[in-house]
Amino acid sequence: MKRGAEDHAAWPVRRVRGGPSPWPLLLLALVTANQASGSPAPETEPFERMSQALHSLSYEGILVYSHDNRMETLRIVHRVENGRVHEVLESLNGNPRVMKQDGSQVICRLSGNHLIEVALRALGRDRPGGRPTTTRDLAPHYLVQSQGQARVAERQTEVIGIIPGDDLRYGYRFYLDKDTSLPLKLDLIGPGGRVIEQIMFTSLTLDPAGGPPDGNSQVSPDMAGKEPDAAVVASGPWAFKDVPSGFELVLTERSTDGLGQGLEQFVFSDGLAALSVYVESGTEDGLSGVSRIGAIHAAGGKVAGHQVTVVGEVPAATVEAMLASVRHKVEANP
Amino acid sequence: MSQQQQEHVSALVDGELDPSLTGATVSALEASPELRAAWERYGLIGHALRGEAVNPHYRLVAARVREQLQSEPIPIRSIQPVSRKSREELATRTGYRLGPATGLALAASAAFFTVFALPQFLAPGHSARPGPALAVVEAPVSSRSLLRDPPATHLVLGSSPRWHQAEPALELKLDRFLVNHQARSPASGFKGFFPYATVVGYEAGR
Repeated sequence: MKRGAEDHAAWPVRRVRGGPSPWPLLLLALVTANQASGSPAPETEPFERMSQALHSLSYEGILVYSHDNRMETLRIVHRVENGRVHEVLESLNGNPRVMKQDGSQVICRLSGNHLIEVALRALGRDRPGGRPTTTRDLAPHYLVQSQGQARVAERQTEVIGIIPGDDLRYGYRFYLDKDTSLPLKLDLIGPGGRVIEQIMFTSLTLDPAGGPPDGNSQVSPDMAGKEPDAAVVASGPWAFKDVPSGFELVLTERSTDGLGQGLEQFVFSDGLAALSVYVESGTEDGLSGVSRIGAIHAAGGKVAGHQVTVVGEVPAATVEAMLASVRHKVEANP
Repeated sequence: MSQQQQEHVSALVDGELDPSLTGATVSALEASPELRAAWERYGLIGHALRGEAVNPHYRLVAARVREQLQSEPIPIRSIQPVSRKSREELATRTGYRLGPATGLALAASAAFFTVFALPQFLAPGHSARPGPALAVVEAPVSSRSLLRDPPATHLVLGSSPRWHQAEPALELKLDRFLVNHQARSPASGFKGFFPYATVVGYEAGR
């Protein structure tokens, strides 16, 4: 007999046939009750502990990633040295695919020998001002609840469920190591409560001696808040009307692609899920329609002669709605 | 570890498991070391038979494969990853229909290959010779060299493009957008490596 979260094969979703989703009302009632009872208990405020564990512990292990009814195997090596994060994540089957983080730089080589190098910007800065995400930050659109305990990679974990208030975003179930708060497993929950992706450790080696000397560094100094050289705050002619509920613009950047063409990026977030809107000028090539890898969706099309592409770990309907929200101010108000 | 669980794991490796059973099967995997070992063996065998690379870090299963292949029956579907759709298409094209005897013959051939050929490829002293069906990545492979210099011995056949895009340039653009997005997602602090596990781990249907 399995315990705790293992008893929750799916979220307890009940829906009136043909009627509106009951989640918003239920969510509002639960959130109101939670807030009225005072500050949340520590076990319902897991995000800071997760963030600290992820960025202060050294560890390595084998991960399995289940998606689209198949499973992939990954190896992760994560080291924190003098507050600087070094991480290698590589596939162990199929095409060679690897991600390497060295301080503020991320390099990925994906299938098709795609080599991609980007500068980290937001790592460790979950909220404006650099403070970590709290349960209350997510309250308008998610319910955060403890869902018992489970055993993962031969370690005891506490299970934190994050239940979405609607079908515009996924739900999450984090399994946090009881001793370190390192997340050992993640279930991604789709509409209807179905588990659509899972990532979990099958083996884990913790190396506390490899942690940062001061024991409290979350990110390396050069990582926190570093601005990519090519990026400036954009104030272009773009507007967004009727964006998906709960998503707010949190970051705007303007840069150029490898061919010197203008590229603007608008990052929207609801505090947990995020999506990016990319606007390209002077290009004819781009995505038309919807595509995906796993639970990550992309939608693309032309807006006022520009190629617009939306990418994010959200359902297809959300990227489509975001694409539909894009307006060119000049064209909209000639 | 029941026979049914083994069959479910085998089907999961082949991408043929009923989606409604995926969650329970993964939970069973995490609870059973024996089932995890079976999954590793089936996965390794499947990758080898599909002509994909075999990374020595794949849980260092080579020794265990050699030890257990002959002692444990392997579900037919794990060594005969031919979907029903593929069989129907083949029958339509050729006019021949694969019957049970054909399946047994294919299974016997695959088992012969697995038992007698695979251990040789995986033997510690074996030098990786690129062949039409199987190649082995030389170990150890540093992450840096893997990033910059794809191993010449890495032969991969039959995988589908990411994003299901036929145009490599568009596929690359979407990958670049995604990686760039992950680096700027506000909640990446507590999601840690999980977003990148999706980016790196995802492999389209083989």
